[in-house]
Amino acid sequence: MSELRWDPIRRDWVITATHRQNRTFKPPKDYCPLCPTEEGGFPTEVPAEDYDLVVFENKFPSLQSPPPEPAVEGSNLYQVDLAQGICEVVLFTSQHDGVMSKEPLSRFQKLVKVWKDRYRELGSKDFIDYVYIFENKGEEVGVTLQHPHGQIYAYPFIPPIVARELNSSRKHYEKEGKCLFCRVLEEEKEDGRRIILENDSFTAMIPFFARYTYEVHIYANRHLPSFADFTEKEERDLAAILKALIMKYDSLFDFVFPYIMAIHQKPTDGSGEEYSHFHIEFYPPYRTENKLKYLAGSESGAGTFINGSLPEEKAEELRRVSLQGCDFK
Amino acid sequence: MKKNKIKKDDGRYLIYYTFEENQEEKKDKEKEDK
Repeated sequence: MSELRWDPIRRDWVITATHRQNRTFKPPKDYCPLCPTEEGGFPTEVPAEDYDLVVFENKFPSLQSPPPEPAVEGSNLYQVDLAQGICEVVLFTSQHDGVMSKEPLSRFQKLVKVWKDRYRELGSKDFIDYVYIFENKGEEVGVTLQHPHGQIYAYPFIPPIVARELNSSRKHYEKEGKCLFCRVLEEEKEDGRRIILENDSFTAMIPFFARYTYEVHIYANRHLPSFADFTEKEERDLAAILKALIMKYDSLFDFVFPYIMAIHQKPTDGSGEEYSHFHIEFYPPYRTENKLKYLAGSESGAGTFINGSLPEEKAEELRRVSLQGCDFK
Repeated sequence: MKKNKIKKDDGRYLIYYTFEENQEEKKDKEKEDK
């Protein structure tokens, strides 16, 4: 049973998905559901002895099509709606112990192409308003399966964080005739202190208003609403800057750096062409080599983050991390 | 890029993505190997 429950106070939807409580939780290496199925071995999600990249419907989806019946009836105050949508898992490599920062550039190029394809295909469905591509990486952020993978949630609504961004950008566009993200990028490039990596098509920076110590945003350099607008060069340049950033992250303290990666782009409900701007946000939980940032009282209860570091200093730290000859340009 | 979409035993779909290496990717790989 699952449904959307409307919170009339915060004015957003909460998804209940009780069937997810028993999803696979940290299986041992010889029981990984994301590995290829070995001959004579137990069946995994992938019925092949090897694969390059794979996408499949999540076995424990938060949203489904067709959606299940709600567990409760709504009321005038407490609206209930069907948890209709699509949840997919994207397998980055067939190697269980694969480390993305050590993968060749071609793997990232393939991944970008797969993301573009999923955005287009899922976004073309009339019940999908937003295609959210993301990655949870590392036990520290609650990852239950170690095998390198990401997810896609195709929502029947625009989720609140994205909606708030787009509302700001729409108002800015109506007032100034320009996309707010383009304006932010302009200001960051003029300042320079928080820029970490740049190539022809993308810029990676710690934002002025970073909430996490090593939070990085990757912005498209031109006004690029979504994957659907990418040229082949932009596909390649995104792959290159992604690989370079992940290499820097992993080299910072010499361990595979956990993070949540969130891709924000144009909704697929027909809105936002002038004020949606493709960008990726990384939220790494480590604030030092061995201390985690927890979302405690101010963040969780009041929505106000406290960053114990200066973005300008952390950007300098990340700039100084060697890329060992990796070409991200 | 090629897609091969199959139906799993429980009705869910799975898509295999395969790629041919193009000239630019070969050059990138050679650069990385150096």
